[in-house]
Amino acid sequence: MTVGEVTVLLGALLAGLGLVRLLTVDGAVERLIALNVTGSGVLLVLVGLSIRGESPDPVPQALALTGIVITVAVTGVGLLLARRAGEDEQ
Amino acid sequence: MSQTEASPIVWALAAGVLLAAVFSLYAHRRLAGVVGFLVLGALLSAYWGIIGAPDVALAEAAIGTGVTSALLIQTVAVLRGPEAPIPFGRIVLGVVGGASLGLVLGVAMVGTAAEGPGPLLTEDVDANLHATGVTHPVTAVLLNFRSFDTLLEIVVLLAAAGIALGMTGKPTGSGPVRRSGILPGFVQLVSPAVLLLGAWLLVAGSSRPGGAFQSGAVLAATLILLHAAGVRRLTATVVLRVLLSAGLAAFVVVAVGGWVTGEPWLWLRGDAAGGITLALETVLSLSIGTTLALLYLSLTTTEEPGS
Repeated sequence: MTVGEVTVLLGALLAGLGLVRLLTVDGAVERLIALNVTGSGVLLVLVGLSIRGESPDPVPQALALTGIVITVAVTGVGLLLARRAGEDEQ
Repeated sequence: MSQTEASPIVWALAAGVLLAAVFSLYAHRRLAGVVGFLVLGALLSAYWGIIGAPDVALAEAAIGTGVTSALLIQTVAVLRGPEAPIPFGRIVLGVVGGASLGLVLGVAMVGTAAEGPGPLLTEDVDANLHATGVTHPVTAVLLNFRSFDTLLEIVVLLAAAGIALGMTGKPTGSGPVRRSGILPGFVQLVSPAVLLLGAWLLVAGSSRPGGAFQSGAVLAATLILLHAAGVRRLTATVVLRVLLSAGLAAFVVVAVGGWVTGEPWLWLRGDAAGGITLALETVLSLSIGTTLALLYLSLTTTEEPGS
């Protein structure tokens, strides 16, 4: 199997595992971890599909970088909201 | 698809990533899940490196794993919700279900890709690289060819910073509590070197893997370490707010600069392009670093909104 194929397969597996967990769990922290795993999987697929020969395509790499930063912003705000929601219940 | 056969190291890393993912998703305790997530991130970063995407590897290590894990641990340490271990049957169901879904999609994608490779943009990027003033393709794509995406990304970060500022309450504890032991001394010793590394990553981004986002994350890591070790408390001062918005402001100035010279907006070519890109990256790096550190800071405070 080529490097690109392994990456796409790995990414799809991560995305599938993360998605199933994301849809079946209740807690905010667990959901955000699952969301991060799913996102990483999708980005692996994005870059994996473009791996061909010597130099990997820079545009999907840039998009993956953007995706990682956006994911951390979503995670940060999500955790903040989870903290506040949790505190309200006490 | 690629001509290179996957070496045993690629397979080993892929297997490690998969195992770490399953562990972090289905761990019995939340803290174990977060630590598993950290391990997943380290292995994933190594994987990105070995398949030839070093910029993504750096970003994954610093931002995707480092900062995210800091945020997660700060939350998990305070959350009091129930932590019932998941029954083994449900774990198996989840893993098998998720893996089947992933396998079906993965095989379908690999099969479709094998039929005919899609278009690659590598040659287009390489052909126009000389006009951008930077020599690293990914940096050129981020800050020149696809700078619109990066502009919107900065807007998202600013929105997150705004939400965090609105929800930051009073800091827990009465004042700066310097923790005892080796941690504060170590952090004080190491911070200048880490900041220097961040500055190097910023400048290196023009010619090799690096750039604003990685260096911003290093800055954020330093600020978080200083705050967590009790060496220097972070507060939402005016300076912080200025730094948070400076990135977007600088980006808009560069974007409009294109209009002013009679070209489309966000147009960045010519002899000064390299210098403008580096200057923009510096301001962006400060904004990104302070935004990520603010996200951490807002998780360490209590409910009541501050000033």
